[in-house]
Amino acid sequence: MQPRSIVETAEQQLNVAFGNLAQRSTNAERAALAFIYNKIKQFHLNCDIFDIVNECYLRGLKQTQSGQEIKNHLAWIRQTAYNIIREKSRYGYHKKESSSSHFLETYLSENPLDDAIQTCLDQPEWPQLKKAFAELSSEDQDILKLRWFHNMSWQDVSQELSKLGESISTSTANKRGQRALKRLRKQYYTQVEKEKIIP
Amino acid sequence: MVMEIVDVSHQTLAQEYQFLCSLNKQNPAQEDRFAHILDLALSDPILDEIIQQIELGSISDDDMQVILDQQAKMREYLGTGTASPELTYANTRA
Repeated sequence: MQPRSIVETAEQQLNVAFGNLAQRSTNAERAALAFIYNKIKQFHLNCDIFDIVNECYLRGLKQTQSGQEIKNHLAWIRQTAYNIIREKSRYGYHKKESSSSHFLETYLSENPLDDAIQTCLDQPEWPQLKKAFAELSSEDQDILKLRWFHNMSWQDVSQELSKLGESISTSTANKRGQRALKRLRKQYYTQVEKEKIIP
Repeated sequence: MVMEIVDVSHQTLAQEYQFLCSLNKQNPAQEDRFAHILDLALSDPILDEIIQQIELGSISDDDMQVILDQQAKMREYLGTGTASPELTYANTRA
């Protein structure tokens, strides 16, 4: 574990770097903002520089609190911003989508997959669903997360699974997803029945 | 400022970086390659400077106005002129 003073110093440096990004007009800061602006345009995203910078700051905070050092803050902001933009692009944060899409979709697009699904499943009205989901195989869980919790098309699901080393066609992904959904439904009703018997 | 490229590897990386920036859409392999160049720039001040110059050079006056507006939005969020950047950004977490 890092000594508290080191973490505090790292946090102060992070705060200064982000404060400068907002307030200074040197080429270094402008270049970092120009980078974010250009990447948002290149990935056709429905967000602005401000959103990305805020997300970067939160990640920076997490990183410094975990004891990881950031040496070149502006280069780090560039790299982190690029990762955030890639993630947003992957999870459907494009311009063509309605900016008024509801909170859950926004939440899902901005959070890591497992955090997002955990939040959904932690809803008090869905305890049986949570248990049923936990009973499924990891393959079933993955495909359901991608298709229904992340609202991906079957084509995107097959591409995501390919990245994980499992090369399947779009129609196979569809069939597998339907079977997983069927198993989830079955598990869900089993859980409901169990709770009726043992309240 | 004139961009000074000091060796061949930096020149090659700069060209590749510009090419990847010029694409309308990057495929996953190109995204990974781009991320790798950004990774290299973390510990390479010369590459870092080159990237800064490329980014500044790619911005039109209209684009710059958007960037300045966004900077103003950030200043507004932080609260202007009342404290150091360090204090103001830290305050947003409260």
